[in-house]
Amino acid sequence: MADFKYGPVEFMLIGFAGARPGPELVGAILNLIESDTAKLLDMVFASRSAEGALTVLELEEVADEFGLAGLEIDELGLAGADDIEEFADQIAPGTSAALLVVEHVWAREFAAALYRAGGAVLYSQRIPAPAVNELVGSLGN
Amino acid sequence: MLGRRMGRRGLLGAAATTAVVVGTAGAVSGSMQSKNAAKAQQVSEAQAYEQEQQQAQINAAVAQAVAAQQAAAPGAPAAADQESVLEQLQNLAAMHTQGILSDEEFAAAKAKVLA
Repeated sequence: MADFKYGPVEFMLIGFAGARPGPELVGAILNLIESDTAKLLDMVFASRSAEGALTVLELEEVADEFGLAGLEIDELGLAGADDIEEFADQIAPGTSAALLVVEHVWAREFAAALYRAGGAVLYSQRIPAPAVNELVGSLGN
Repeated sequence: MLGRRMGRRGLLGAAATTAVVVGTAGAVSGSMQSKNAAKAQQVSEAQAYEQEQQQAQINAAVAQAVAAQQAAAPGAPAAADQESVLEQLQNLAAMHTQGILSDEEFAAAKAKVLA
């Protein structure tokens, strides 16, 4: 396995109020799809009722309604039912979320090179952008 | 849900398996790790609460048993050495109020203390 077809992927659970994402969120997802450095591999929506019942909606069920028609996603269905269940724990009653599986395309070659070199990522922790920006801002200069 | 999602290992499962193979099982994913840690924390807090409740029950039972023993032998040297007459009377009155001692028992115990 000298080359990787895929780089590392990351789950992102994007929460929003109500049952459907607003136009700004949809726009952000569409921009992500056009990006060269990241690739959307899979996407599924989940909604939790006020009573706590979870509904999982596939893209094909909501694409027209959410303004996401015509999307081409390479690995639709990559996230397993177990994954969705695990992340859905985080969705509060009366809210919904989009679960994205995003490939870090920028890291694909890097990951392959590490693998060839016998190296491995021992630990990786992503720091949310608001936290980074707040910290840097507090440092001054 | 798409059929492709069902009946198989998920990405999280794949990551966990890979982590075991390369010996990084302790560093799978920061967010999942802290989520699991939070779950474990909740469990241990619940257990601690339960233990506190049980301990409180045990403490109450022990206190009652001691009180009952003292009531049965209010003039016993050990009790007499440690408690003044006033304290013994206060304890007896408290036990009487709480219903541990009947009117007759209280009267008898009080008579012994005052004797």
